[in-house]
Amino acid sequence: MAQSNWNEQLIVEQLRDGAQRQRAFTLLVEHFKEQLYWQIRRMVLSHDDADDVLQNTFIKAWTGLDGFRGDAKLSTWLFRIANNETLNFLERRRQQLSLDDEAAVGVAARLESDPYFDGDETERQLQEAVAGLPDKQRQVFNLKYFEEMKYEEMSELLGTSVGALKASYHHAVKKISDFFHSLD
Amino acid sequence: MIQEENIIRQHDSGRNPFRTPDGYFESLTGRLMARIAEEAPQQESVKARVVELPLWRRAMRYAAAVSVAALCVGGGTWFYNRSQSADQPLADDALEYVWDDDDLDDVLDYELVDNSQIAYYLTEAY
Repeated sequence: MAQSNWNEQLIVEQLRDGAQRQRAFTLLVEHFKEQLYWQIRRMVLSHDDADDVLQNTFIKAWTGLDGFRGDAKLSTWLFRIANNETLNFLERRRQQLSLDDEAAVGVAARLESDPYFDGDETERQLQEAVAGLPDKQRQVFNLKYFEEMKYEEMSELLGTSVGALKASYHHAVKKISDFFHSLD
Repeated sequence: MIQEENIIRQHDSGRNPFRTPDGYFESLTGRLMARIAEEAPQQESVKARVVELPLWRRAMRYAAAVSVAALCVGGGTWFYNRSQSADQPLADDALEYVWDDDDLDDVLDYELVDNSQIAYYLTEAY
């Protein structure tokens, strides 16, 4: 996250003050945009989709500011909005693809033609394996494996018990390793 | 699980293969705030407005509240009294019927039950 001089309490107070709200929200966007973007991007894969979901996340946050009670951290609150937006987006895309005859293009093939993905074949295969997980399990895997997030923090973000998260991660790792076994 | 994680790491370069367009993050905030200004204009802070009602309207509200409370109390009292009075005679009658010795003697005489038979029933029985 950007800005080592981030003062969350001050920002929360300014967000509640109509006169300072816009300036405070701009600082909030600056502070969280990259972290949220990459969490979204690892789920939706495409930059354009990640950009859409990220902007929708911040717009939802802006319109929902009056509902923010301050009992959770801003990062937790924003992440939950982003998570919901991401899962809703993936569900809508799944429904759209189920109606589309040309939908059967695998993740690896799509990434190969994506101008904003410059990984090699191995990295495309990893993304294909991860994309094959159920959405919530993929979320857990991404946060634990790529972001090295602690289970306790993840539990607060996702509202799931530590035990359930550990089990979910364990299953995800097993599935992905089995995927690579099947390629050998 | 460490072994399975190692299998994954063998297929993971450790770098982020995803990229963003040049200047994406630098321009994001400005584009976003412009979009917010267009789609969701700044909300003015809403303070609770206290509207003072005219005296007669306040009085009407109090009167309505008192009326409803009186109705509840009155209705409850009426139902309670009704249930108490309805029950009382039956209970008393039942008690009198059971504990009137003269009536009991009449019944025993009618059934031709004397003292020896009563003793039998009490001792022989079951």
